Amino acid sequence: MSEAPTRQVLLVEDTLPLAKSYIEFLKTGPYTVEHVETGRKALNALKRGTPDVMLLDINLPDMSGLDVLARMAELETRCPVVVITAHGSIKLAVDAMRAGAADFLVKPFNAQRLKVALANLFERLAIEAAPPALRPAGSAAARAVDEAEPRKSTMDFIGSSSPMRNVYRVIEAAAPSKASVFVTGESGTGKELAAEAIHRSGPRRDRPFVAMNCAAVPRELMESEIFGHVKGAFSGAVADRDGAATLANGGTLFLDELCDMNLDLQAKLLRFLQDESFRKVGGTELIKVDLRFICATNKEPLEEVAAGRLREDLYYRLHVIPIHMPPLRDRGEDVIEIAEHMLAAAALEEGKSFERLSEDVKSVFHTYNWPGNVRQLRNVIRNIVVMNEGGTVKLDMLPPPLDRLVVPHAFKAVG
Amino acid sequence: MAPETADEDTLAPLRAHLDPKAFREIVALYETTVKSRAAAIEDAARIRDIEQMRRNAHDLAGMCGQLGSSHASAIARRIESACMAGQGDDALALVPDLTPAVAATLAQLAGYDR
Repeated sequence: MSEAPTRQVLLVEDTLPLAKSYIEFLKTGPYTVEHVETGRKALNALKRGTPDVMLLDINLPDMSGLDVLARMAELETRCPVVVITAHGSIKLAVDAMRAGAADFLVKPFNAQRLKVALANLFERLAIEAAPPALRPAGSAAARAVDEAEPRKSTMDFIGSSSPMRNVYRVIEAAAPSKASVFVTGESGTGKELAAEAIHRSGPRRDRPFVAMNCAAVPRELMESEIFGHVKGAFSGAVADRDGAATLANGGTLFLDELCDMNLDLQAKLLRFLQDESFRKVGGTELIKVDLRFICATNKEPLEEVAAGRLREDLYYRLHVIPIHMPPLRDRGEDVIEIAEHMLAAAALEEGKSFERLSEDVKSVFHTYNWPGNVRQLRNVIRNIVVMNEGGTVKLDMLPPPLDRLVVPHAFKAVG
Repeated sequence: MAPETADEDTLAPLRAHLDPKAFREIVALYETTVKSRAAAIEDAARIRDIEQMRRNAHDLAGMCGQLGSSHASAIARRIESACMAGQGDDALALVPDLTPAVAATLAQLAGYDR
């Protein structure tokens, strides 16, 4: 196996003992570290050459780390930044991520956490930088990105908006890897579809894809659902039973609504991620599996970390490749493409003759903010098809709450 | 207030990786800097220099946290927060609590030499 390349790290930390500790932490890995103590010196160092990563303390004597990030953006300095924040300063970390930081570390942290954060970052960067030739040939995702078709259908996705093209690119790039993927997005944006697309585009496509919704399973049963149990482990455990981790062996385990998992189980999941082995509930045998992990949440993971509902170390383990599913209201013309696709499918299933949307209906669809996203659009289309007859969907067919967007004169013009 | 349970001491594992001289140097650096920051907070408190209190408390909180001295770190963090919130009196009131907590941290560091 080839050795990992040596990475240049620019460490910006004004508290000398902390800086020395971090330097020592990194000495056991493939890193060379340049240390500076101020934001100004950091910016000067960047002028001399761009390191592979910058470790940037937010609280510096001459300027804040956020100022450094802003200055880097002005100078178009392309250097991934991991910000270092104090305990209880997650909001600053969130601000830094919005300002362009790639990740964050909360003080205090140990050597392992620092090295995992950097390893995750470099893995993510390598995947994003992989040339198309290294991506799965002939995947629908690859076609969607490379052929620049006017209409894109990637796996079960429909839409060619800019935010979705970014999603396709990340899915395509992430699919061949085993790196963990963290999917975020509002309810109904297609997080599970993204997970399935990654699984089906990658080398594990012929192995199981097992999805678990952590919010849907009673907490007391969740451990058994993931790891399985042995007979007699608890009342009702009348026989040995495999859990999702065993069922997904060789394939992908998708954990939806991860932030709803209780903290004790998060700790067990973390150990499972680290060791790729586990014991069934009530069991003694250590079971080894080969899994790819994809998780999702409709919450803001950093806020969940700050609130103590998501373990920070678990977040670091899983947040290797982030994918944010855009809300439907940010997807431009996609809403019409998706609606027309769903209309055709629903009309076929219901034996109706609907073929098109009127221009007024398209206008309402563009205007509405779709809080339930694609799932809500599907329900609206199904409602229209079931409750109405005709070839064209008109304004007076719209169900609540969309009917409230229909202004009287527009209604008359159509009617 | 009873001292909080000690967090993970992230310094101790370094001992396994470093030669004894290098480890003693880093321990000595912590000792010197922790003492210096604690003294600077007391000096700043005497002249109500809130910004200096904040700055040194921030450094002290980070170092004590890294050493697993969560009690000292928490007091320093509260001083920093009070200074940032413009609550100088609250920050000053916390300074006497800092002295024994820092002493415990320094005792822990001295223990590395044993």
